[in-house]
Amino acid sequence: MYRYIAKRICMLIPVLLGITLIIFTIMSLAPGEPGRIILGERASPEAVEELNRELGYYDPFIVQYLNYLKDICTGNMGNSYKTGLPVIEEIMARLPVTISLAALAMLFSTLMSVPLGVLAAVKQHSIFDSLTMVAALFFTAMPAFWLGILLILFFSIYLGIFPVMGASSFRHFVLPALTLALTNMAIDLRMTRSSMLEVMRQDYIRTARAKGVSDKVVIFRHALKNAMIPVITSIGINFGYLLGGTIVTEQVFGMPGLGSLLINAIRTKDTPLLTGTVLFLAFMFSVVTLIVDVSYGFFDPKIKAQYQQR
Amino acid sequence: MKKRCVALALILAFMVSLTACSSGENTDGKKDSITIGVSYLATSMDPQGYDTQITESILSNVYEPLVRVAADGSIIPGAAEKWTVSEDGLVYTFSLFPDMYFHDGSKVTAEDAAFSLQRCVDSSFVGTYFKYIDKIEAVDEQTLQVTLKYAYSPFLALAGAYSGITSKAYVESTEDPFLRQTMGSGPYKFISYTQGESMKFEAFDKYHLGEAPIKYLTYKMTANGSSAALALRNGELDALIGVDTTNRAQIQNDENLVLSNTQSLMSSLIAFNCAQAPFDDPKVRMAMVLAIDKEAVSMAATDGIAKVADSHIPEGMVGYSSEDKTPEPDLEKAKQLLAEAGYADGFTFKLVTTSARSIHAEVILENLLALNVKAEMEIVETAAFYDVLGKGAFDAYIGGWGYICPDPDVYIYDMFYSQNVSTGNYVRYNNPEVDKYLDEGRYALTTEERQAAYENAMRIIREEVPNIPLIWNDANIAYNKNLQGIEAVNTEQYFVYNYSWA
Repeated sequence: MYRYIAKRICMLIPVLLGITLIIFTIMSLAPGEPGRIILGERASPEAVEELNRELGYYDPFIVQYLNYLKDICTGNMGNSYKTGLPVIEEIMARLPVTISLAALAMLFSTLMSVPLGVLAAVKQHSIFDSLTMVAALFFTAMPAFWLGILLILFFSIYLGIFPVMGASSFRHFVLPALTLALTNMAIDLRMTRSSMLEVMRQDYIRTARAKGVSDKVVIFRHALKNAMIPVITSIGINFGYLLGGTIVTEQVFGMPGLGSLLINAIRTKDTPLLTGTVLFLAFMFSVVTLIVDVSYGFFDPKIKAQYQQR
Repeated sequence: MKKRCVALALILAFMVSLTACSSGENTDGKKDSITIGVSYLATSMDPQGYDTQITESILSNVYEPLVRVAADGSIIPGAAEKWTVSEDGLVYTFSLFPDMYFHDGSKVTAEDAAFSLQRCVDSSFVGTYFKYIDKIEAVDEQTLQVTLKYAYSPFLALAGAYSGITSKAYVESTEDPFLRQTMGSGPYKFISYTQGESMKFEAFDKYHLGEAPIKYLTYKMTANGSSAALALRNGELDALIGVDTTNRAQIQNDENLVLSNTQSLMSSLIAFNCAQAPFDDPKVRMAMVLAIDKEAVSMAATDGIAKVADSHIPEGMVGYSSEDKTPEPDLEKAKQLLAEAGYADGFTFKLVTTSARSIHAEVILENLLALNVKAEMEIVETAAFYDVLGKGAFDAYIGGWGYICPDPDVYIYDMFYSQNVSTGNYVRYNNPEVDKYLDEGRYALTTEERQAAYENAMRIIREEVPNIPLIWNDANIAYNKNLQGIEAVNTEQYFVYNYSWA
């Protein structure tokens, strides 16, 4: 088991290297000199050129890239062109907001999709089944910014329950998390439903029913537990996506998370900030996927047994 | 499963509590705080190191410049109680207020003012506006003397924008004095800056003109215009600088809110690269001008709210002339000019712009089709945009250009003077006669002489049209109706010290 985890961690390295290479290539192809961005539109060309040289802008691509890698390895992600603050400081300041938002969205999504998915599977082909699936698709198809505005109109303006923007209290997180949960729940919902359907057809379920176990026990003790493995994977991967997928929602609800940081970095062509943030998000995503994979072992005795044999 | 859910909820509660902070609710009675929505927060807290309008608005509350520019454009005292200008316009002598303090309690001296003005001269952001300064001298503790290389009348207005006084001792003894904290002598002192969310300030009790009526000031970043308008309606914001066209109606329909607007000093314009074909021929440029419908641009981009710009110099400013008007659209004449220039069958060119002005571009593209002129539109990010402009890698561009203070020199000179290719004259316009008039306008001492010089320069520019202004952007601010002393200003400088709650 530990060997498997270690192997997975080693596999992260080429992935992250590939990511840095891609981002770095794209950013160096895009126009915009760092000196101009740092010193402003009205800076003299000489000053811009001098700073460009200082920052290694005129070095060959491969030299710039290797220098960047070297800095990363020593934990230095550079300073933001615009604010002058260290990139890692900017990221860490925004991270709690995004993680809280993604976690709350995951919680909402799970609380909605698992029970609904189970019900839809149990009552397959019923009107409830169809309605749930249609509703899930409807919310998935809805753009997050529009759904967000509609939720604000209803909950903030008409009911006055939740604030419109900011991230300074728990109440600020409810609407954005709900927006994210609604637009992302279709995958979890469908996964729960199809997994449940599959398990319900298994022989051991028929056996359980045959020996007279009540429907409730069959569904929750026998079926759901076995059906949860692919669902947990799906929820975990979804959480990874949510970390990088909160951009639009953060913008709508004025939340200072990684998404808005990324948008700002793109808008101002703040290369160190942009590269650092994307790299960080990719790293987080990889770690989340790793945790999901490892957690199989804990949820599924079959897989655990497999590792122990090795 | 249940246990896991509980654990998850606990982790979540913990994480949320990490990000929680006090909500700043007000007690009953008169409100003592104001929250202003802005589309981005200060890009820097260095009063001499920024180039964005909102930063200027925010910092004007934290730093005290030598003088301030009032909403009507007049120069009023800032840190300087009074000032005199020598007869030849070369020597400015400022007398500072005697009892003026920085937020740390130390006294503001002429030396600090001199230090700050020197930072203006040395700044890569604003240095270009202070090149004419020859000597800065603190005569005594309260007197500052500035000697110019040549008489330059916009000096006071520019000082109003950028001369925010910083403490010499503070700047020299602090590592990164403007990065995580800042200190000035303005009406509000810095409390906190949450990146991407808000900046908080508190009224400075020893401000030399008296403590501000509103005690707490918060700027909140609103990335999305629609939710910003809703936050204003919901009372989370007390004022919102810059309301989107699409959100005007809901604010105007709300009886608790007021929307104030005025013509700003920022224009949207289309400019033609004069250094390469096809726009190196003035006839081709004029043909474009005759085909562009500015009303349609204003209608499409701003629902007709932005005023059509007839000339580069707005009414009321030195150099404005009622004759200075872009010719009316005339397709026949445009076709004739194109034929004369050898483009009877039209041509294709590259038009560069940013997403902020893509609608303007679409209207113009449509207009030019009537001349069989086709444009390939390229929309780039702002940072890349200026890169493209600086390199001259375009046939035409649609961009914005504005007056940082109400004087023609700061706008016209950068834009049309032949030497300013990298700082404004991106179209590489080169006309020695225009250069001569621009120099005259810059160095002339009397308003009459300046008026004549700019009228002459604009007459040539009107005929050769290296670029034309399309519309004057709308400057607006929406606010709670109980706020007093607040209204839209053409420089978009919002000085909170003047505001109070009814």
